[in-house]
Amino acid sequence: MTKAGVGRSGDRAVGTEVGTVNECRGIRSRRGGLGKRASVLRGRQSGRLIAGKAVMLGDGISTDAIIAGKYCKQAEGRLLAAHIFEGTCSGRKSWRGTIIIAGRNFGCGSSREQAPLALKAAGVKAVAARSFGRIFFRNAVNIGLPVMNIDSQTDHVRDGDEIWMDIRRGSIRNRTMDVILGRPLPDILMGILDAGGLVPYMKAELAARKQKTRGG
Amino acid sequence: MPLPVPKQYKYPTYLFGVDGKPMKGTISQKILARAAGLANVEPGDIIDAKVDLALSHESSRLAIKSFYAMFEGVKGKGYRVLEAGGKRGRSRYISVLDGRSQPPAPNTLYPKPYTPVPRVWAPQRIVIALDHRAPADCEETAGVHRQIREFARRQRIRNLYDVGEGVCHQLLAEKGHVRPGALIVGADSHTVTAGAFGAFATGIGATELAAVWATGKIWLRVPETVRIGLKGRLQHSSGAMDLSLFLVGLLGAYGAEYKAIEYGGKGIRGLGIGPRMTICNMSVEMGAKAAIVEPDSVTMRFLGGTGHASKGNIVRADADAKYESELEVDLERIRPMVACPHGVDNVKDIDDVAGTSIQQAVIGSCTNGRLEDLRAAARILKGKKVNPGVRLIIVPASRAVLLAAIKDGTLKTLIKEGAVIENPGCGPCLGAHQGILAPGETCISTTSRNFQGRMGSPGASIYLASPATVAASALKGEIADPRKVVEG
Repeated sequence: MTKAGVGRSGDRAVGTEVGTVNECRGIRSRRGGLGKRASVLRGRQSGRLIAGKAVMLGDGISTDAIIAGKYCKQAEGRLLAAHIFEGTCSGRKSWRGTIIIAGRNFGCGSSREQAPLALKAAGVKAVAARSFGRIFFRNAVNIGLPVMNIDSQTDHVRDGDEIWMDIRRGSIRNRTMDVILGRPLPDILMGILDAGGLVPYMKAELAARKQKTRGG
Repeated sequence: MPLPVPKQYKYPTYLFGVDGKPMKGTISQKILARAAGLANVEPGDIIDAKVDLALSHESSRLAIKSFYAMFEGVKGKGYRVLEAGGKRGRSRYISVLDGRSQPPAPNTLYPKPYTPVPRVWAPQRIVIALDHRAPADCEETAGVHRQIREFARRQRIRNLYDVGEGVCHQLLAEKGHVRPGALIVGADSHTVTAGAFGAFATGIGATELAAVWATGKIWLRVPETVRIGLKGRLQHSSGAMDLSLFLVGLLGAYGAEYKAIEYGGKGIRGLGIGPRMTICNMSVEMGAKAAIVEPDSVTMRFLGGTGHASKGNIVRADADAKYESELEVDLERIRPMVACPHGVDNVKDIDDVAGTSIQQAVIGSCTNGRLEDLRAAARILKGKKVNPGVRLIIVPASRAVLLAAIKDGTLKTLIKEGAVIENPGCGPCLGAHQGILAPGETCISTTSRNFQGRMGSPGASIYLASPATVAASALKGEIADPRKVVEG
């Protein structure tokens, strides 16, 4: 993977790639309430059906494995992206357009936000895991990387399979329509994801608060 | 040593719910209910809680970036003015985007009275310590440190502990920031350490911290509580780290996922503050959201001793509090334990791993860098020499620990017998500096994590053990049982 390639993927709004825009609009309107704040930001989002290639990982992937402590002086995703899973993961070269499906306790350990940042910048579109390190889980949502808890078996999905993840309903399906069941995110997290992360979410919140002060 | 006195702040009384009725529940439920201003909360509830204290370290850098980004384009009344008029009566222009001051544009006839800059919600409730890469390991880190210092100055954050003061979690305790019953969040996973004082302390990420800085609030899911009752006394040769490793081994790396752990029973009363901090600290390795020890006379004596005597609000669990599960551990039966590569829950009895050759031994960090830990190591090392094939690195958790270790001669023993003493801080724990491992090397450490690649090369192996075991291993050049070393 070239440096420039990493840069481009990092600049894109990751995690909002969809099958067809209309399909996703349909899902959104059916599900209705996105919350007040999210509706302010409706223009930015394009649904929550994420397409990607599956990468199957095991249990207990730590944030140290995702991005080593020595690189964390960097805070920019595109600089971090080249170092993800360094020395610890199967020598995969490109992570662009992948969806990670992992076992228990994905992202356990350190609270470093660089871990989800690096994944996102490397082109990982979403992470589904049996369970997450709780700080990683929050961090991922906060920087706008979709995450999902999965409950069912994942045996029928293989590495490299093309899969579609419906974050709003909490499911993953592959080409043969086999489904991995998951849990949809709580509303508050969905709102943050819809806004594109905590920074834009808070921006809307702070602006709204300001208006309120002015009005009252 | 006169300690700088942080500005005092008060926590509201909340032994009663907002409606005046006594609250029922576990300690974490009560603390969270108070923080959310609710009479009662149940596990699974998502609450909007007021934060009492926000902690961070070098992670502040990302938080600062996010903090200003949140206010970008949000103009006007929403926040107060940071700097009106510089030293010479001229105002400083501060870019809202990056917080750096900018000179007035050349064509400006006179500077505007001020440029509004977003302010943190309560500077006295923010604590920042530079510990992870301190002193700076490279130019970049030096820049990060400078940025954080500047931010603290601009935002009037007095509680900035600079390079060499120690690990943030230890400072939180020593400098009197921790109060029983407080809701503490920190941009570090080991923030749970503060639970040793009866606070609900939990780790968050940097951007989330920025939101706390901006609003003083955070959303939290009320966790289920697991109660771990301790009985009996630890044997002389076993330490709190052995107990922690035993628990992590027993419950597994996700045994307490998303849950709060409440430590209770007579066993915990017999432990000092240091061991309690170790136990709470290591609880995060079981996936715990928070770990809490009910405050008692030991807690109060320690808090009184910091010179910031404040009773805080002691929260106790109700007799009929609902626990998700309960567990009892007999401390007498805890033997020296070792966590093997590459997982903290890969715990084995010392006999199973004794004899593994090591090249580095580390004693320190927020987990085991306190005076009693250094003393335990010195007791083993006294009169013997560290094996020439081993680098023994000692990292005191704070300046106060270092001074105390100098005063009682512990440090002299350690240096004499061949240890390397590093400045108070995180040391090599996170693999940033001060003792990185080469491929193929093996290290035994009292730190909290042994994930692959944690302390340098992914090809290195890290074992975790108590200070006594690490000291004994440093003597032998291989993993060794401290009981046998003392006898022999």
